Amino acid sequence: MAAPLRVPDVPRSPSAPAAPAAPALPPHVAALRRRGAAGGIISQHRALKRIRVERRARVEAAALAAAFVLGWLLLLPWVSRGWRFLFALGGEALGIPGGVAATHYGAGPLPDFDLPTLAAVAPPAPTTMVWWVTAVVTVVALAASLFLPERATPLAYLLRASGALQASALIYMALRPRGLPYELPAYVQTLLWGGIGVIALVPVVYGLTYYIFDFGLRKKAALTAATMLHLSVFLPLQCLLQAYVLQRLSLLFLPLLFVLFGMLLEVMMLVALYAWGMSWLEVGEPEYAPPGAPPVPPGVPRRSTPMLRWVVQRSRRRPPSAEVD
Amino acid sequence: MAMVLHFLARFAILLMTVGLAAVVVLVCVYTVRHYWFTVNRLFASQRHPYLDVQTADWPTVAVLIPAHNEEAVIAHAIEALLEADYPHDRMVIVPVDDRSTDRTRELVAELAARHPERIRPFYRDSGKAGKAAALKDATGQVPGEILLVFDADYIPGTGLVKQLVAPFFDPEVGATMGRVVPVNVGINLLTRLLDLERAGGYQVDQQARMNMQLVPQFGGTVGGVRRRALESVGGWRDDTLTEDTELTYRLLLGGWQTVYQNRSECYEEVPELWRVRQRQIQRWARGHNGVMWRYAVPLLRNRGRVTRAQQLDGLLLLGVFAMAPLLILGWALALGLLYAGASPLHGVVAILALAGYSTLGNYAAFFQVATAARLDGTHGRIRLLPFLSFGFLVSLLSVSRAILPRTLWPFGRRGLVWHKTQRFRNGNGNGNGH
Repeated sequence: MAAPLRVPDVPRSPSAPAAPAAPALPPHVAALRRRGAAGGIISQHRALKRIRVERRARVEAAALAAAFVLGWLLLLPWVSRGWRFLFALGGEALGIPGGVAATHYGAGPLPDFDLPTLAAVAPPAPTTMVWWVTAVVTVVALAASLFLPERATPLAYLLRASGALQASALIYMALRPRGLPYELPAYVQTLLWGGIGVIALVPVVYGLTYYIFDFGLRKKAALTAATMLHLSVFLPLQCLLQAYVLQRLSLLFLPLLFVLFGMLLEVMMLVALYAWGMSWLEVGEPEYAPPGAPPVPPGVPRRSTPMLRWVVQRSRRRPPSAEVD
Repeated sequence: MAMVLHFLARFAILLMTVGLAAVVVLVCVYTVRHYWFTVNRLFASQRHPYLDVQTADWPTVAVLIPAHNEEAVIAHAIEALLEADYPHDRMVIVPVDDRSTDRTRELVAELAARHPERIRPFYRDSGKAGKAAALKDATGQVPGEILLVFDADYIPGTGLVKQLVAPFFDPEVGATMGRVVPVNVGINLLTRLLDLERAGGYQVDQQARMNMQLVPQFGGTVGGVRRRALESVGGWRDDTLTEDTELTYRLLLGGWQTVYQNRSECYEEVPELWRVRQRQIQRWARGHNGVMWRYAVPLLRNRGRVTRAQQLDGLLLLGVFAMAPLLILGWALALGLLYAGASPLHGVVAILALAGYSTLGNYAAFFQVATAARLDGTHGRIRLLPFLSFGFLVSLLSVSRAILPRTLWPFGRRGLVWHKTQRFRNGNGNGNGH
């Protein structure tokens, strides 16, 4: 095969006068270039679309991400106090003995904070009853996954994966009942550290995958704040629930809880919120109406939910006295 | 004795740690690749070099439609092709009926009787089963400088044939590929998830490859190949389940370019049942892995015709299905470390790394799919993104089950079993197809 031809750039002679810049079209004339039949707008075909990000938007995205990360690190002492409060409240409500302990952390210029944990001790090995009941439930779950209807195939696979994981823990505990070298307080702190890391990564991940779109500063900030707030409230509740299960039923459930209901769950929430944010309209983006879509009352966002439309319509209904007038 | 056992235990933990680290590194490579492709698709200038070719002295074309028990869809595909704006005297439609037992042959014969100049059916009653074998037999019997291949469930638009043929005016181009767009999207969760996957794969992945002059994949569902290029690399091979991927690599090694045309959209059915989807992806995985074993080393050794970037992209493309069992191996190793209580932090670090790569690592894939849906203007569908994880889980386990024995021992002499994809058009859930 011949090498691809390269056309060299023709250098402009220094003496050649620069071409005069063409005068810009008046906006109403420029708009005609995209005017279709019946006055519609001819949008670019999806195959050819791309986006342009101005330098200002890039700087804005970097600054927003940095501000949120820094804000999170500065707020950690207050957040930790909140978690400690939740641990105390939840621990008492769930009957987890031992109360709340904390470990002091401090690094460089960042404010020090006390990371709380539950001081309870989980039994390292399950009782015979717990082991057998878990074994039976695991076998039943694995068997049930074979009989689920076809439309529930993803659920069946999830059941099988969970069952395999729990089966591995059962076998391990049968061979080495006190083999798992973990303790509840350290485990809870590991979960919290993982969560702190995920929350700190939220602005960075959004900076790379969300801020590059032109959603406007308010939407970007709102989504980031909502995600971080959601995760920082979810995290202590997740720890409490896991601690309750482990304290009551032993470390037999630690692998399953850690692998499937630990960081994986947090990241899935992050993905869900990201997906929601990505479904929003960008600045100046026209609302898309698929062919044959039912007419939407004026003033109601086309992409709103039926419930929102109903609320908006009710709020716009004129009072009876006005109708009489 | 105790010292020996202790040493062996430490050595096993070291091996598991190294193995897990290797898997994590591989996943990171694929994460970077996803992100790089998506950013390129969003911001780089898009390569559509042949889009403006409208008027030309068009070459002769044979449109091959391999079909086996396609009575639900075959007539729609042929009728759509009859309406193509390609010069009628330069195009011949060749339905390749491969031993159908339903009304496929009857429908084809009926249409051929009505358009004898434009439809020349090829009936196959013996020989090896499978699409590649059918194409191999038919290609020698039909005229045409350019061979277009459509699946029988595809509905091409009127301008599609010209769009797919236009790149062949460039003498370096050996094959073209158009974009596949699902038509039965709103049926159930599976079809919606497959629509998202297809959007990510074509709108972002394939177009980014085209932009960066890497390895756009030729697809035997809506693509074309130059007869001279095909013959120069040895024709169709019938010892593979994915003849399109196989041909992509032979053309690449032979110095021919494959062109992806994002604007050339063709509409297909995606599976509506999970078991059909599982069989489809298992066939792809087996075929793709066969291509990997066959062409990974020749690709690395090829200097001159293949650029370094193409070598890297080609290798990563070959390895996509092999990643499924590797991911499962990663989980097994991490669990082993957790149970072994290995330092640091008794294996918790291993699990954290694992959770990190399995979730944040996949985030780049979510980003790719969401970007594709935004470019397509289908914003609402992006909200289904978290459900893709369930699709990934089913694919991961199905692919691993299909290829693990073959990956561990690729030299066995097992016959290729062609599981055909079920069609659902007009409520038909029984038909099969190539």
